Formats: sequence, structure tokens, C-alpha cells
Amino acid sequence: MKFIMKNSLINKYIYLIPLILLSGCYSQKVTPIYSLNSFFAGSLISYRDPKISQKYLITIVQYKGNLRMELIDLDRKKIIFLPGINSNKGNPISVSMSSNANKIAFIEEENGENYLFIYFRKNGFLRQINFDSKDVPMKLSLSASGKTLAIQVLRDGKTKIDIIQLDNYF
Amino acid sequence: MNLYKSIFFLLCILLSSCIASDYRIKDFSSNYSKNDPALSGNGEKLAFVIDKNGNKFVQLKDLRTGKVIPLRFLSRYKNNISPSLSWNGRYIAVISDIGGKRIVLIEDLLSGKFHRITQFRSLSPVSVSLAPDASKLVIQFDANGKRSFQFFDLTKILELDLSKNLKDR
Repeated sequence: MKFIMKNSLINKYIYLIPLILLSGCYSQKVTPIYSLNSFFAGSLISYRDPKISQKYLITIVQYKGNLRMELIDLDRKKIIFLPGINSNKGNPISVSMSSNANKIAFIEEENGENYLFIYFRKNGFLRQINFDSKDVPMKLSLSASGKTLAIQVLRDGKTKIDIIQLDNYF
Repeated sequence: MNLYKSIFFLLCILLSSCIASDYRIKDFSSNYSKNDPALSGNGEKLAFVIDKNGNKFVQLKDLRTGKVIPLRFLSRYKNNISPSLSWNGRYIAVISDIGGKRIVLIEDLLSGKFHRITQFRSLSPVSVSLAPDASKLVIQFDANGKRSFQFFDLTKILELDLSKNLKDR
């Protein structure tokens, strides 16, 4: 009798076993943010390397063959003017920002050479970060705190990642 | 007297150059190429893609200790690109190629949960960026050479990963 009871309990809850096993793995539908998606949809602009914080988006935009960086306030859905950041000579290839977008780090390619800059939005200052002549900066990530910078560097034929503490640098 | 002053200034300059050289940590570590750096919001963790014989594994490193943080789920996938981290590095999002189809994966290092985001129809994700608080995600797509992106709300599947410092929020 006990055995029958046990069996019926197992049968009752057997479907839970795979659920328990798969409990760590979810395939879920996330909700698109239509208000933001519609703002960027349908334009002739091609976007590259978008990075977001809670309030801002920074991206490289390509329009009629020209590349430039654009900062967008996501709450107000407005492009923020960044005086002096987009030069006429160089093309941005990688961009990243702090969460308040007060610091923007970017790599620009000009005449086959790559240069790394930090832009301070509050005062419009642009500071270049120098590299050894053999090192080529290719891609970067600025922490949301704006204090640490990680740079993918081509060195001796291999890509490596250097770290710069910006608080000590400036 | 002037000589002493000059020596003092020279020493100061030498000392300041020594201090200034601490700001940069150059990577001469392994023979493998490392790509796609992504810092956590607080700058304490670094995610990157390591290329081992054509397989692209995502790796997470604690920059304070220099130790690699194990990834329970993502370590099983060998075709990953574009990692992105939340503020404290609780969440790591990547694009993974599984059987020729690109999907977005998010691993929660705190709870051990794992999320697969697959609802892109015919679009192919190229890069992913997680907001520092993990409230939203932007995915860049490539459609016949034209690159666009879409925002996704993550608040229904993830808890926020906020900075302890209110000024950072």
C-alpha cells in the first residue's frame, strides 16, 4: 500500500524533475522599448558601436559616407551638441562614455594612424592619450564611473588589453 | 644653493614621473589575443574575448586581485563576441553564435541564473550594450550592411545592479 502511495506521488511530481534541472536556464522574451526604438527607426543613418547608460546613448553614426559621434539624451530624445569632438580629418572607430556622459573616450583613425582621446563634456576639453609607437589602440571601454579605461591594443601582432586609471592620469 | 635647488627639482621630477607611470597597466600576459574589452561600471571587473585556436571564449577578470572569475554558463559557449557588464559586474551579456544563429545570453553571477534572448526574427545581432544598472539593453543589428539598433527593457527579468554610491546613479 505504501509502495503504491509512493509511486503515485512520484507520478504526480515527475514533471517537476526536468523543470528543476532547467531552473538555472531561461529563454525569455524581453520587452522592446517602443518609445525609444521608434525614435531611431526608419532613418537613413547607419549606427555603429552604440553604448548606453541609464540616461544616455553614444554611438558612431554614418550618414552619406561621413562618420561622427552622437550623444543622445534618452529621456528627452534629443541629440546633445558636443562642440569640438568630431574633427573633419579623422573617423571615429570606437567610443565609450561614463554613465553621466561627462567623459567620452574615443579612438579616431586619421591617415592610417589611430589616436585615443578623452573628451570632457562640461568644459569641452579634448585630451589625447599617447601610446608607444609600436602600439595601436583599436577598441575601448570606459567604466561608467569614468575612472577606468580598458583599451584593446595591437602589440607585436597580437591584440592585448591595457588598463588606464584616469584619476591618476589627469 | 642654486645647485641644491636644481637637484631638489630634478628629484621631484623623477619622483613625479615614477608616480605617473602607475596609471597604466600594460598587458604582456599570454600568447592568446584578447579582444572586445568591457569594464564593469565601477571599473573593478573586466570582461573580454580570448581567442584560443579560433574559438572565442569570454573571460571575466577581477582587476583588484588579477584573478579570473569563473562563468558557470558562458564558459560552455565557444563563439562569443561583444561582452558587456553591469555596474558591479553582477550581469554579463554577450552575443553567442549557436549553430549559425546569433543570440544574446545574460549570466547572473549572483543568483546563478542564465537568460537567453532570441526574439530577433531575421536580424543578426552585432554588438550588445547593457545599461550599468541592468535596466535596459541595446542590441545592434546588421541588415544588409545597414546597421541599426533596438532597446529592450530588462526590468521584468533582472534585478537592478546599482552603485553603492548615490552620485553614480
